[in-house]
Amino acid sequence: MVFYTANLDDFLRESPSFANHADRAESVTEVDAARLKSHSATFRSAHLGMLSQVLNETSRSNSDIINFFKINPTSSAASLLLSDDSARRRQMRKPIDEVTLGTTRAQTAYFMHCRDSIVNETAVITNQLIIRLDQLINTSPKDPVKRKEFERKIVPWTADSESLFCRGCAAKFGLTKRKHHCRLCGRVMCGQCSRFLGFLSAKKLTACSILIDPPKEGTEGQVEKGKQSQESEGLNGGVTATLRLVKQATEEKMKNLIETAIAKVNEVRDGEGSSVGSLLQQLQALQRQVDALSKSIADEGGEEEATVGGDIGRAERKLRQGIRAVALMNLQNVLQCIIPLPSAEEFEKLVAKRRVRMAQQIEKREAQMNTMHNSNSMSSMTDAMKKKAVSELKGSRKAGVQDGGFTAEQTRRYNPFLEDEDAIHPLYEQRDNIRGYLEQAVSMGRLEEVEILERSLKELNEEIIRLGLEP
Amino acid sequence: MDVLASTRLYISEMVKIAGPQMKVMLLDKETTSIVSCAYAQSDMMQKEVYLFERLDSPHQRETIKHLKCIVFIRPTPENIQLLASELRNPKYAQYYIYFSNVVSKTDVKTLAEADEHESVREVHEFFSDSVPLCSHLCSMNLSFPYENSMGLLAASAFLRIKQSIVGLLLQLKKKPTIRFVIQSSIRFNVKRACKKTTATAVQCGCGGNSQKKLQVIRREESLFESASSESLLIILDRSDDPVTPLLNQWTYEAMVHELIGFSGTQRVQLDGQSIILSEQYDEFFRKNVNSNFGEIGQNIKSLMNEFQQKSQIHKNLESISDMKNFVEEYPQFKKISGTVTKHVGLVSELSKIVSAQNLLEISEVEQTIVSGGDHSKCLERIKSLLNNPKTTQLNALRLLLLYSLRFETYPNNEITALSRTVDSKAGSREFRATELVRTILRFGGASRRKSDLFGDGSTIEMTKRFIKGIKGVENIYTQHEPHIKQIVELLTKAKLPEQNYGYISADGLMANTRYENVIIYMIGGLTFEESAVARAANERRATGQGGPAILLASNQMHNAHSFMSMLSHMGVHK
Repeated sequence: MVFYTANLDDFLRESPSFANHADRAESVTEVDAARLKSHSATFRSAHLGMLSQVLNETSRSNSDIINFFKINPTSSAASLLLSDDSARRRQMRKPIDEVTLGTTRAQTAYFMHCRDSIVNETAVITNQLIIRLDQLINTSPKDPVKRKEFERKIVPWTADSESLFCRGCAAKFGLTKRKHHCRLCGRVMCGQCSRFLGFLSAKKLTACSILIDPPKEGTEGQVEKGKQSQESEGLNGGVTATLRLVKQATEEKMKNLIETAIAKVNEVRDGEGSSVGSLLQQLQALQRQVDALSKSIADEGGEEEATVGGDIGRAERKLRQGIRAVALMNLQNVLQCIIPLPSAEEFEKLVAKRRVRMAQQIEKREAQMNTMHNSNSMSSMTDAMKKKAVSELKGSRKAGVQDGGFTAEQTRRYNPFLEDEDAIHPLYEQRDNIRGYLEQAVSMGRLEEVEILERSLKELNEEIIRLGLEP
Repeated sequence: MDVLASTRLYISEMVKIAGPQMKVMLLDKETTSIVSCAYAQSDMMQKEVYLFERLDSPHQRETIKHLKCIVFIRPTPENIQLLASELRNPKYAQYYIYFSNVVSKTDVKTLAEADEHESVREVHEFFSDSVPLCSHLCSMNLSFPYENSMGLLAASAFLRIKQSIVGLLLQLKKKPTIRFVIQSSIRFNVKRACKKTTATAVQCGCGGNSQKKLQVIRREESLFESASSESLLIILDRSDDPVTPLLNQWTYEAMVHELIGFSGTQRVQLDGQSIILSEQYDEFFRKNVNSNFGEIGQNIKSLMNEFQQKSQIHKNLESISDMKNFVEEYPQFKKISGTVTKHVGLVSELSKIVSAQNLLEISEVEQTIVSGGDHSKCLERIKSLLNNPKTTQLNALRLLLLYSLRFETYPNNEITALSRTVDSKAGSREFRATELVRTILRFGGASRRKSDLFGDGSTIEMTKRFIKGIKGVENIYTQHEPHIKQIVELLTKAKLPEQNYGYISADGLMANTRYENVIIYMIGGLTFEESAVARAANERRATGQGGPAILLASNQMHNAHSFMSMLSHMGVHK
């Protein structure tokens, strides 16, 4: 490890001088080439800067990541690519033994069925309690005597003589511990235990009973508990939501980044790169953002731990580290995608190649046209071909095969002896071609194509007249 | 029939069902090894699974309410209890529960009753109940399945093995014809005796085993609906081939397991460092799993050369373009350097052990014993090796046990004398030689084996050996062929004798038809030598030379040491 980190440092020190070098090159070259070169130079330096930045990052955090992953260094970086690769290989190797998802069976429906019946049961009890509470609070008469009667009507009280111990704390009743009746269940409990629900919170409960989690059992004390836990959840929710948002943002950026990167690489490889420089800068910026964001997520974990005093815990920290690691890994993967960027000279070569390729393509197309013309020179031949095409078409229709679309053949009869005499104007040539196509379309009975062809023929004629080629 | 790929599909399906958002995975001991074999942790992180927790961990897990939880556990009573108490106090927002095997309705109900917070979203059975070591091999990490030296399975082990076979068949969607070794007369008697006394009677021996399993197939008819029937499951017992686990191995994977030992699945401890050997993620390992020791040496050398060339280039970075190249190739370079360090370390450790323990000579004698060597010559060489101070107790025991198995019925054998010599030898006293010999002969001796291990029985084997004698052997260290190879060959030719191997047909198919897929379940542990046989068969099939696809499954992967521990464990419980 030692020597390549050293080299990396050297390299980082070198890179500004490299940029100068590129600048000088730019000033010397001609105007036309300069434009091209400036693009390549910017993208090159941008590319290098980006590389070095991430590499620097990587080499620092590498050991951490490896420790964290508990997997070997060879697999961590390229595992994704490799796994794809191996999957592909497996597929290739075993065409006969296709792998499909094994048997699965869902038990969700049965589970939900069981749970619903239990939940319903508790819901019924809870509702009953809430209705009682509602009556007690809102419709209870003011007069104390009448009120007692009213309360007894809602829940029949258990007799004092039957209970010797408090229901809540199991303490024995005596002179100091007096018996109290719960107005919700009618059972006897001590004074302390009877104060489980304040008047205000009881009022809240009846006011918006829908919002409350159904308590687990029929005992009243748990109403309070359930509420508490919900409140604390709400508190946690704030932190959670931000974290989730951050995560989502990261993901999105990641995706954008990779897409742009891939598009760009393809472009450059085509030798086309007109806006490569700016795109790469964007990419670089995006990568920085991702890096910073993921780092902040990881750091936040550390900081919070310091301030709250270990409250954030091992798992949360691990989680944050995980997110950071994945971010880094994605950055590395992107790097691996972009690596085959051509240098300035190569880029020029590529551009040249592209030109040649284009030229070749054009030539090829022309050549094809020529041969086509030659082959069509004998009229009997084309007739035969036409017939064949028609019969084939009919055959295919009979067989019920899907309609394969319409393609017309070149039909203009080309006279090889006239070749040098007068090159026909391209518009004429075009017109003749279209006429030929039209004939074919008519003979095959393709109405749509006939329409289209007729329209274009008309347009062509108009054009010819407009140019004054034909009287 | 690729267990590894199928397990990977299962796991990614689990994650897919749980949907996006950060996730935690809650596992038990066995599913942890299943998941870790199928995916690297970094892969799981790509799927947004950032945390892995054990359901049965003694530590208090923290509450993280913004996580979704994927629970993947075996449906054991303990796990159900743990999960129920987890659901009473949920630590995560939502639960997606997957069981690795058939879960009973009552268990589902228990969980439903515990789910007071209604945090469970999905409950599924995903039949991935064994650890996929590679595409053609899976194991269960279950040691000591036998109850006594007669090869009776312990009740719990029987249950677990049965479950894992059912799980495996469901995973691969197969409803096979089942074949099993018909018991020798002794074991039949044992079986009958058991039947009279206890209810667990059916559980002894393979015959009972497969019949019982078929009942499972009938009971869970609906699950097997989509299963195809043109495959074969053959249940073997280690007692039919006690020789293979005793031999020294010379292929890479087998050597590593034999001499260093996998401490976890795919994990090797070397100099206090944990190394992972995974065919999925390690190209060099994938290429050399089955190479023999000599070939590995050469391949390592070429790997080294490649690496040195690369590092040479990186050393003289002169121009800027050099540096640029360096930076571009850096990740790959690092990858290679990791591979090189790992394998060079491993192979040098192996060769150190080989020379320190005189393994080449020992292996040669082992091979002579098992492939038809002469008694007096074998005895002489064993004696001289036993006197060699380099021979460790383990190796002495190998030789002794092989000798006992081979010359058990030979009139003038010196088994007792030799075991005394081994016992009197100084060194570690982990095993007692006399007892091991007794146990192995009772477990897999000549009277118990149906197989013709040493080729004494048939004339074909005799002539084969004769021809071999004339032609000479290419490699004296790899003359031995495991018993499984014979079985695979017989199956390919559809000639597995019915008098030795009974069958229960799936859809009225004949026992001896040519099956496309063969699952071999070895009760009592497999070796990597046998895995190599299956690998070779599958490679032949892949190149279009026909033959069935082979899948091996077992309760554990043996090396000589673990095999001997199993024997001595059996010896204790007579």
